[in-house]
Amino acid sequence: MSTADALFPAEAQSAPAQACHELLVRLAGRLPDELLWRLRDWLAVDAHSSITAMLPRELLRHRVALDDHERDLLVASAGTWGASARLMDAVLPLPAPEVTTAEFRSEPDVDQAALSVLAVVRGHPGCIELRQAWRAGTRREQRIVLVHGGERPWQLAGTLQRVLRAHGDRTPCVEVLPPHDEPPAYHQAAIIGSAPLWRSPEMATAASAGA
Amino acid sequence: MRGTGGGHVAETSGSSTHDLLLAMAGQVDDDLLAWARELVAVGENTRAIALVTAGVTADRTSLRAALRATLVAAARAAHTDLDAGSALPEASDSALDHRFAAAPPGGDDRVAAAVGALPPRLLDGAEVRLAWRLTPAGSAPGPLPHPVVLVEVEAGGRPADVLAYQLSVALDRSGVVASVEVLTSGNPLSEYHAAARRAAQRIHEASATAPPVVAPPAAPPGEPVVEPVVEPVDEATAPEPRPEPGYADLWAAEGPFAVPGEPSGPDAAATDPTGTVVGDITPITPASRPLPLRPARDAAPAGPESRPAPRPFERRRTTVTPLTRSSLPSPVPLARRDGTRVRPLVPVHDETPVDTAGDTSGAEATDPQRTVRPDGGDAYSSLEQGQIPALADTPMFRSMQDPLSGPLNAPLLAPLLDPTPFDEHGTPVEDEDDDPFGLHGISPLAPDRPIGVTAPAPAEDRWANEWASGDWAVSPSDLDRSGPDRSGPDRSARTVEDEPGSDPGSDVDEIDAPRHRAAHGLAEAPPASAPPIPLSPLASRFTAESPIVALPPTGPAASAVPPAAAAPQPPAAVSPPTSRPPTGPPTPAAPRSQLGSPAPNSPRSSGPDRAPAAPEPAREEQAAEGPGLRPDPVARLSDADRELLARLQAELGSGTRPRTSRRAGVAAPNGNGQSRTGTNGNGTNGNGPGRHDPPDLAG
Repeated sequence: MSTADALFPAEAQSAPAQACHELLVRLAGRLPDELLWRLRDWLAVDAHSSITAMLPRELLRHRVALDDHERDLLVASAGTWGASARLMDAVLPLPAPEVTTAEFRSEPDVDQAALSVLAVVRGHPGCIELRQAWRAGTRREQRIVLVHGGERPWQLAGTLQRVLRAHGDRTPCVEVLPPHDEPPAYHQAAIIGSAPLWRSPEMATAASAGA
Repeated sequence: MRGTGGGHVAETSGSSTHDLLLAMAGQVDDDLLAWARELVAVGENTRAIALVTAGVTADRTSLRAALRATLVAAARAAHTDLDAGSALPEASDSALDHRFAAAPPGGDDRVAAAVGALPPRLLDGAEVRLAWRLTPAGSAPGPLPHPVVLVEVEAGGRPADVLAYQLSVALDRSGVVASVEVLTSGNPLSEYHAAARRAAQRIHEASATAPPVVAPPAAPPGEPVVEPVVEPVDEATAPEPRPEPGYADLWAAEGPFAVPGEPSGPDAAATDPTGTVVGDITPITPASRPLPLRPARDAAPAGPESRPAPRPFERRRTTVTPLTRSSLPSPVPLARRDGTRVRPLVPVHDETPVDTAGDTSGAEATDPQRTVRPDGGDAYSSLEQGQIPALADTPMFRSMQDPLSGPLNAPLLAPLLDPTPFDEHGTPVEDEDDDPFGLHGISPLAPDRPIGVTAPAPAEDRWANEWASGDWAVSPSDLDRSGPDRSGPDRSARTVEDEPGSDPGSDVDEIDAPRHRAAHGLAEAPPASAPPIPLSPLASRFTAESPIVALPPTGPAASAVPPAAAAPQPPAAVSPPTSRPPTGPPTPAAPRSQLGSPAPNSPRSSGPDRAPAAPEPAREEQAAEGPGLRPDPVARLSDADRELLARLQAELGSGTRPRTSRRAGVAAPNGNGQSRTGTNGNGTNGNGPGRHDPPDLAG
C-alpha cells in the first residue's frame, strides 16, 4: 500500500491521480508557480497525457531532485500513464529533504478571492480547515491557500485555482494537504505564517473538547 | 484546409511557430500563450509547441481543422512526448466568437499609459492599438475585460516573436497584465485579431514624422489583412514583401472573410473586414491623439523623441563603477587603522621580499603587511630567515606548515627537519628547551644552513691545532668536564677567552658552532635537566660489567681538548641567559643516574622523545640549588670508576649524535671526534671515516 493510498483510502481507484497530487504538493516551492498550477489544473481535469508529457521533462529542465518516496510517486502516476522510463530515471536523486527558504506572512484582511475560495471549500466534503498566507517574492507577493483535508483533493485544488485565476491570481498556489500527515518543510513554513479562514464544525468541536 | 498546413508541417522556426501561436490566440488562456511566445523568442520552439499542445489537450479545446492539423504537424516535427494526433480533440468549426471593446467600463487607461512609457526602441516603427476583450479565453481564464495590445510592424523588420516577448515582459514589469499580439503588415488577420482590431484604439503610431498617407484603394470586401504600418519608407530601398509564412494563411483560409491568395501591398491594406477604409489610418499627429491614451508623465510633451533614456542603461553604469577601484593604492592600507601595531619604520638593509620583484624599497616602507605582525617583526624578513612560524597566526599558513598539506619541497621540509631557528644574522638561535641534547645545527639534512657558512678559516686552524695536539685521541669524557677534582682551578676558570688564538666573540661560537650549539643548549639550561647523554638501563649494566681500558683523563692533551668537551660548566648555570658560554655541557645529572640514584627528573625520564617543556620545573628547581650545593657523586668515585664512567658517557653520547661533517671532531664533541677506542670509534657513531681520513688539513 502506497503512501497515497494510506492518505486517501477512499480513492484507491484513483491511485495514480492521488500519487500525482501528492507529488505536485511536494513540488511546491521547487517548481515555478506558473508551471505547477498548470500541472495541477491538468490533473484536475484528468489530462493525464499532458502531465505525462510535461512533468518528467520539466523536472529535468529545472533540475528538481526527488527523493525515493517522490520518485515512487512519479512512477506511480506518470509512469502509470505512460511516461518515458528513461526520462523518469534521469530525474536527479535527492539525498536529503530540501530546506525551504520561502518566507510567509499572514494578512488580516479577507478579500473577494478569499471569500470565493471559502465558499468552495466549506462545501467540499472532507475539508476541515482553510488557511491563507502570503509568500514574499522579489516583485510581488503570492497568495498561498492551504486546505486541510478534502476528498479528491486534486479536483478541489483545480477548482480553487480557477477561482483564484478569475480573481486575478495568474499563478494560483492552492495546497490541498492530507489531514493527518506531516507536511513538507515548505508547507510547514506556510502554515506557521498563515492565518485561518475557516474550520469545519467537527474540528472546532474536537478542538474545544480537547482543550 | 486548402493547403494551409500541409506545406508547413515540418516548419518549427520562430516565425512559423509565432504564426501558429497567433492563430491560437483566443483558443488557450492568455498566460499560456504569453509563455509559449517567450519560449519561441528564446529559441525553445519545441518546448513551446509541447506546452501549447498539452494545454489544448487538457482544455479539450476544439480547434478548426486547419489549425488542428498544423498543430499536430508541428508537435510531430518537434518530437513532443504527447501524441497530438490522438490527444487533441476533434476539429470543430464552432469556435467561440470573442467580443472586444475599445475601452474598459471604468475607463482604465493604465495599459495605454504603460505602453506610452515603454522605451522608444521597443516601439520604433510599430503601430500599437489597444482593445479590451470581454470574453474568456481558455479553461482557466483571468479576470475580464482583458486588455489586448495589437502591435503592427512592417514585414522584414524585427522578428515578431522577439518583439512580442519584449513588450510582454516590459508591460508585466510595469504591473500591467495584457496580451501582446504582434502582427506583420501584409499578413492576413485571424478572426480573433480582426475583431480586436475593429474595436481597438490606436495608442501609438509608427512614426510621429510620418508623412500623411493617402488611403489606398479599397480592397475587396471580406478580406482582413494587416494594414501596412505608416512609416516613411524609401521606395527604392523598401524591402520586398515577406514570403508567405508558415502559418500565415491558416486563418485567411479558415476565416469567414478568407479569400484565395494572400493580399499584400498597400492596395490590400487599410481595409477592415467590412470593406470600409479604416477610419484611423490617417496618421495622427501628437496634437490629434486621444488625450486619455497619452500619459502625461511630465510637464513637457511626452513625445517619443523626448522620452528619457531607459533605466537599464543607468544600472549598467553603476556596475562599471567598481572598475574605478583599480585607481586605489594597492593594497588598501587597512592595517594602518591600528596605529599601535604598526611597526616603526626601520632602515631596510638587504631584506627583499621573496615574492616581489623590481623596486620594492618604497613598497617596504609603505606596505602595511610588513608591519602588522603581532610581535612587531617583519613577516618577509622572517621568511627569509626561515621563521615560518611567524606566519602561523593564520590557519592558512598553519596548514602550510603541515608537511602533509603540500609538497615536501625545500621551503617546507627544511624547517621541519631542522627546527633550528635563525636570527636575523643567520645565526642559529639556541633554545635550550627545544634542544636539551644539543642537536641544533648538527642535522646533516640541512647542510646548506648557516652551519657550513659559520665555519670560517679560524675553525680550520683550530681544528688543525687540535689534531696536531693529539687531544682528539683522548676521550673527552663528561667526567673531565664536570669532575671538580679533574677540573683544576685553571680549568674551572678556563673560558673560551683563555683559549689561545680564540676570539671571545663570534669566532669561537662560529668555530665550534656545532659543539657550542650543543653546549649552549645545555649551558643555558638548568644543569639538572641538561645531561648530554641520557643513560639507558643497558648502559648502566654495561658500565658495571664491561671491562674497558681506562684512558688517561689528564695530561697535556686534556688542555687541548676543545672547551666544549673539556671545560667544567658550573658557571653555565649561573650565566645570564643572553650570554653564550662557550664551555661544554655540565654533567652532574649523568653521574647520578649512573650511580643508581636517579634524580626525580632523571635523564631516562627525559629522553629524546620527551616533550621539551616537560622537565621545566625540575630544571628550575635544580638550577636554584646551584652547582656547589649539589652532591657530586663523581667526586666520590675512584679513578678507575671515573675512567669507566667517562668511557661509557662518551660511548653513549656518541650514539646520540649524528655526524654532520667529515670533521667529526668539530661537528660532534661527545664522542665522534674525541673518542678513541675502537668500540666507539668505528661503530654506529660514524666517526670511522672521519678518523681514518682526517684531514684535509693534514695534506
